[in-house]
Amino acid sequence: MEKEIICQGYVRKDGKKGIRNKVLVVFTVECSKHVCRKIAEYFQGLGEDVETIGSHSCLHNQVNIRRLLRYCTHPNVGGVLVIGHGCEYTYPEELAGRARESGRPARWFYQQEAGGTEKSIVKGIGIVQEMLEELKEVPREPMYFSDLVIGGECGGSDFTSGLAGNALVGSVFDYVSDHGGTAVFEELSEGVGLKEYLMGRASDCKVREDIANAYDKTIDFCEAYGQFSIAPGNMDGGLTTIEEKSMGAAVKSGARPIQGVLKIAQEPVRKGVHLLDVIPDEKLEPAHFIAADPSDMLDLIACGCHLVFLVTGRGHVVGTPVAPVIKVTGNPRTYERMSGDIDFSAAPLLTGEEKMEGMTEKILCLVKRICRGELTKAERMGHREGILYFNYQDPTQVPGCWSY
Amino acid sequence: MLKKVCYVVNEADNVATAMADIDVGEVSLTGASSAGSVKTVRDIPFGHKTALYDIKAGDRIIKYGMPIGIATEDIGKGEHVHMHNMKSAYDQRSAKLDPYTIHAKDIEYQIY
Repeated sequence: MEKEIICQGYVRKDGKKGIRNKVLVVFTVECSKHVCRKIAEYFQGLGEDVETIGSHSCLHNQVNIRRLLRYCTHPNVGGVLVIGHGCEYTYPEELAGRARESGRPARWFYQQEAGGTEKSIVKGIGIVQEMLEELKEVPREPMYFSDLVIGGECGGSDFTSGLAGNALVGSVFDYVSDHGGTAVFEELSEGVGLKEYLMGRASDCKVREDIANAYDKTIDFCEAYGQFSIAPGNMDGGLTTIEEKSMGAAVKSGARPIQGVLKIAQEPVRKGVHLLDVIPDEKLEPAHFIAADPSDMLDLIACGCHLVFLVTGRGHVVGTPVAPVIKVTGNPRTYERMSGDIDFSAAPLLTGEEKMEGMTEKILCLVKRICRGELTKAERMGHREGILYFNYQDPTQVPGCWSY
Repeated sequence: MLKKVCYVVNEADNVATAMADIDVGEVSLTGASSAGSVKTVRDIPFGHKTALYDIKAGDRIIKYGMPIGIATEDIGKGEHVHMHNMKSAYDQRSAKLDPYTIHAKDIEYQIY
C-alpha cells in the first residue's frame, strides 16, 4: 500500500517535521510577559504565526525548564526569541542556546538591559521580523501519518464523551497507530478503577509495571488530596462517579497496545500509543496541583504532539500557543450551541445516524486539512491559553527499558 | 434527532442511559439490551441513568460492563440512578456534595 501524504511538513534542521511554522516569544518570568505579548500581538495583527509562552515565577523548576526546552525545539516552532526581565532564575540565554543547537534561529535579551518596555518591544519586533524572513526559506517535505504525533485530552466531559466523542478519538488513535504514527493520552486521574484494563494493554512486562506504578501513584495522590478528577458540571451532565467518568475517558486511547509510559517533557521513543504520567512524584500541597485543560494539553505538546484532540461534552473554547487543538463533541445540543468553537460533531454516532467507520474517515479529512494549514476554530478565535504549573518528577527514575 | 430511548452500553449493565429527556412510562432500550424496554417511574434527564433491575443497597452499579459505583439505598427498577442513591467506591468527597444541587458543602462563600 502506498503511504498517504497528509501534508507538506516544515523540515527543521534537527530532522523534525512540523505542521506550523511559528516564532515563539518566550518570557522567563511574569515580569517580561507584557513585552513578549506586545511583540506577538503586533505580528498577530499582521496575520503572522507568532506566539508567546513562558514561566510565570521568579523561581525555577526542573520540570518547567524541560517543558520550555521542548517548546523551544517543538516541530511546529521555527524560531525562538527569549526575553528575560533580568533578576529571575530561568536563564533566557540557556533556552535560546538549546534552540540554536537544534538548528533554529534563536535570540535572547533582558528587558532591563534593553532599556525597558518600549525599547524592548521595538528591539523584539526587529528580531522577530528577521526570523519570519528566515522562516520563509524553511524546506517543505511530505509528511505521513508515521511522522505524526497526536494527543488526546478531555475537558468538560458529560455522558456523551464516552459514548461518542472519546470513542471517535479512540478510533483515530487506532488509525494513526496502525499507520505507524504516535498517539499520547494522559489523565490517569481519570483511569480510576481501570488498573487491570490498562495493564492488560501494555506491550511488554516493563510497560505493564510502569502503568501499575503510575496508576498507584495517581490513586495515592487523589486520596491524599481528597479530590478526584470529577466536578459538578460532569455530574450535571449525567456522570455520577469518577469510575463512570474514567470508563468514558479511557475510550479515547483506542484499543491498541500501550507502548510506553512517559513523564512530562519526555518524547516517545517507540511509535504507537503512549500514556503520559503528569502526577508529581512527590506529594505536594493541593494548591500546587491545579489541573486545567490548557495546561494538560501543553504537557501533551511537551511530548512532541503536533496537534491535540480536545473532547468535550458540555462545551469548550481553549487553544494552545504551540499546537492546534481540534475540539470534538458528542453532544448534539452542545454542538448546536457552540459550533463557533467546536471543530467536529460526533453526535451522529450518538443518534445512530452514522457509523464509526464513516465518522473516522470524516474526522481524518479534517485532520489532514488542519495539517495543511487550515486554522482550527480555536486558532481562528485567537485562543492561546496555557499556564505552566510547577511539577516535580524525576525522569532519572526512568527504568532501563524506557531507553529501549 | 434525539430519540426518546435509553441506551445500554454492555449486556452486563444494570443501568441504561437516557438519550433524550425521558418522561415516566414505558421506554425502548437500544444498544446491548435484551429486555426491549423498561418502565421508568421517575423522569430521567438527558444523559442520566435509570435502573434496569431492582438494585439492593450495597450492590454495585454496572455500566460499560464495569462497576462505576455502589448503591447507597435500595433502588427500584425504572428509578433515576444518580448522586442521591449511589456513590463512588474511591472518591469520598463527591459523596459529601449536595446530591440535588451538586454544590460543595465544605467550602463557604463568606468573608471574615
